Amino acid sequence: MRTVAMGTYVKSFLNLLIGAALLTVLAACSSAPNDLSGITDDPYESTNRRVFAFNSGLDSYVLEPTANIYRNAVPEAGQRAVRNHVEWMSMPSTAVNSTLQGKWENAGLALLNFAFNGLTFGLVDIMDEEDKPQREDFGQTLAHNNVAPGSYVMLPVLGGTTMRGAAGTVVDFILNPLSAIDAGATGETVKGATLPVDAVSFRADNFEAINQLKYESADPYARARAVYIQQRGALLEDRMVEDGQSAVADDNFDSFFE
Amino acid sequence: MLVRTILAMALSLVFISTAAKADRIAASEAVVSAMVDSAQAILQDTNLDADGKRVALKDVLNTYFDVAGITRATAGQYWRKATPEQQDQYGLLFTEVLTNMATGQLDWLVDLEFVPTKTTEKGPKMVLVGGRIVDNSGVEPDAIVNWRVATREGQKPAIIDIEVENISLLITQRQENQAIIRKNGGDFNALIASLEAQIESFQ
Repeated sequence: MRTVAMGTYVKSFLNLLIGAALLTVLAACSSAPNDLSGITDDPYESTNRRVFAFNSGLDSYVLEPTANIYRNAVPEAGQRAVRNHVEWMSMPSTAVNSTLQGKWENAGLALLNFAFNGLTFGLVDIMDEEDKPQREDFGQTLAHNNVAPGSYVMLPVLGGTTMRGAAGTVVDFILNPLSAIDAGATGETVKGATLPVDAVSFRADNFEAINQLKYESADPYARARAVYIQQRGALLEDRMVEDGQSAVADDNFDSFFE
Repeated sequence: MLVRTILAMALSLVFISTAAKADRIAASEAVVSAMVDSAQAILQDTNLDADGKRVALKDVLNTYFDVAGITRATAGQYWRKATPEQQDQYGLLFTEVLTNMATGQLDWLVDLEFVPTKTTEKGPKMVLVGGRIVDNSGVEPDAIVNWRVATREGQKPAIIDIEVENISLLITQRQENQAIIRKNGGDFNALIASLEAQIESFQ
């Protein structure tokens, strides 16, 4: 029997909001919360590199072979269904975080996507491409409230992020209304499988790119960090490359004209 | 009369500036288009073996890209601290790495097509040619790509960076290179050694 632990959920939600508000006040003096270029300073680099080596080993022994089997054995339609489902599961979090950032249209689109695609448990995407919301997480909400990114940290299994991003990941997990739903044994199994399935699906979708980073870079750790900084920076700034916006500030190219 | 002359001059300036802007945009789009066509021709040339394709791709790099500028920029602030010999050695090795990267992607690149979407001026010296990389085999989703082109007066436009889905190849390479040098106490030779190892592993 499905029950919704609303009381517990509302209580944790309020606690988190208070926590977020405190963090925001503490970090109110920070500047340029979207600028991640400073995290290349990386004060925990030696520890981070050890965790990266562990993650790379895990990838080589578990994720890479699994993803390889998955991309060869599962038909494209099945892979798309998994991709859709993983994206659908993130919609409640996007709706909540968009609301917290005042991005009402994005929040509305996330709710619409969640409701309509929910008819197929998210396996089929029946929404138009232009009705897709931008993914928003609690790390972005913290940045929106001027919380500084903190240092770069490499988390076991989860990979590279900032202190702020790591805090955001935990909050997103709790904030997601799906985590408060007691869905019975089958539902719990599906919910529990989401994270590993997401990881395999992501690894399969980016198989060549990640292998190139792992096996062909002079310094895979530094390259992974550089990629994270740029991708995350684009998300934080809601940068749309298709609108002619560049990923890079023009002054990075001054040396070409000296 | 004076007012009319000033007005005519101002209008001429606006016209010249608009025409110059259109020229820069058209020239940048042309250089990207020519580069993509040349690369596709090499990839589809069945008369060329792997080594032949490699040599031809290197030629495309040197023709359409500002390889010397990219080499300098990817070394970041350490470029000025390097000796002329180190700079030369780094330049040669880095061009090899770039060629290896392109050659390593040959099988994957063959079904791809570049569809231009929007070109934007980036100040008076650069133009961003935006578009999508479409996989005609239907396996990979479209990728958004920006080609940054330097438009120097009196010179042929040259590509100086490629951004794929918000990732700049130049910035990524620069940050990786700087991390290698910093990790080795500022020793530029560490970067040279690491590129040599990278080239060796590719072979």
